[in-house]
Amino acid sequence: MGFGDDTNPVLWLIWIIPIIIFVFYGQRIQLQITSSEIKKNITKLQQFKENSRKELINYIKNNLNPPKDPTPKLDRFIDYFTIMPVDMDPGGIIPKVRHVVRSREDNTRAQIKSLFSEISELERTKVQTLLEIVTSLQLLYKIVNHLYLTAKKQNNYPLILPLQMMLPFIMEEANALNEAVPALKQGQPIGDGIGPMVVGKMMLGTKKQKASFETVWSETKYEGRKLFLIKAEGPSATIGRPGEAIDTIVSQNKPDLIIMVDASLKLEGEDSASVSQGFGAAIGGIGTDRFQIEEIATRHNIPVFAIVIKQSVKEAINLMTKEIADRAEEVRTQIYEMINDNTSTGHTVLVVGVGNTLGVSQ
Amino acid sequence: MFSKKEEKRAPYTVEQCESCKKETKRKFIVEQCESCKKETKRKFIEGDYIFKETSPCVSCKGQLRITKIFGEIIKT
Repeated sequence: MGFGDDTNPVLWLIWIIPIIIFVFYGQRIQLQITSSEIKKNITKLQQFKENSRKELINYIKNNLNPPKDPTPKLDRFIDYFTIMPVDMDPGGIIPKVRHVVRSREDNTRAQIKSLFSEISELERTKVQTLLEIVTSLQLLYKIVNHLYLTAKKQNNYPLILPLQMMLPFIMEEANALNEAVPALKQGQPIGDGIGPMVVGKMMLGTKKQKASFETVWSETKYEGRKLFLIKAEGPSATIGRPGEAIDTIVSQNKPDLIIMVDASLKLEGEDSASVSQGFGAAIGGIGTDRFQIEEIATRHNIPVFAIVIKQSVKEAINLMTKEIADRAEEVRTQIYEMINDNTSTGHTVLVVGVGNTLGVSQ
Repeated sequence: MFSKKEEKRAPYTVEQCESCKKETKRKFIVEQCESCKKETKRKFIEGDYIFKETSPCVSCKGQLRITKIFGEIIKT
């Protein structure tokens, strides 16, 4: 009798028992292993959510002197949800989406103002952005926890697989949101602010006028061309309403070229802070502003050029890195080259700096 | 299937690796004189923002303006 003897009943059992266990309990074992990893991340998400909420409340209490305790009202705002319009509507969903999102923004703004007897616009936008972060973290926690608990309740391994696949991306975003809180509290520029930073410098020394809500425009000259410049009104934590502002300026001045400068999410393998040029409306968000810009550009047959500065999610919403800040001058040079290459003397160009203008004036 | 032990586990604490502990993020600003274009770098102070006019230039008494605010990882 030796180890190679497959007639040995003991050895035969050693082989067959694990096979039987894995056939009947394999999924449960996998679920057990996967779920412990997911549980760790859920606890981390819960911690992010609670810490950011605590930081928001402490920031308000310590810096903004509210007349009464803002905690119950803030907890209600954090739980707010948005029901998006029905998307099978052939008549056009964009105005409805815009209406719902604007209603939410207007309401949140009014509710924040109601917490204080007096609050500056800078502080109000900072609180509103911090509130958005806490709400996003709360939503991420709730969704991940729901999927995990459903799989656990149903004892269903395949149900946990999509969550396991998506979790690294969710955690990357959650980490970025969590780390963005200190920069926002101190009013520091974030990576997404590179567009407003580039255009803000071009606006220095010009007369700034209101183009739309929290958005400013100004006029300048460059080598015989008339330049219209648009950006969100800094140094508040706002992206403004670039769609409306472009609509107004284009209707009044009919520019020959539109150039949009924005931060863009980099692909894996791409260098951070690298600059790329392209075509089309460079603007993120829910899509309503992009739609508006595309429509007006098409109606007036104006080419739209884009310059983007690549960065990760974390860089986009955290304190601007040196590499990104150092690119501002290069981007400005590229804008002027683009103007020289695509227009001639007497033409009008609209340059738009897209992004959150926190900590970036004009 | 989900053990009671797992459910009762102590709250998660953020883990830091050895290298992370040794890295700190410092916030700096760069000011440039509008006349002599001389650049100076200093630590960020709350209330600073890009394109804010700060103090007069020590070299030519021109106006200093913040041109950059950024974070740098300092390895200690």
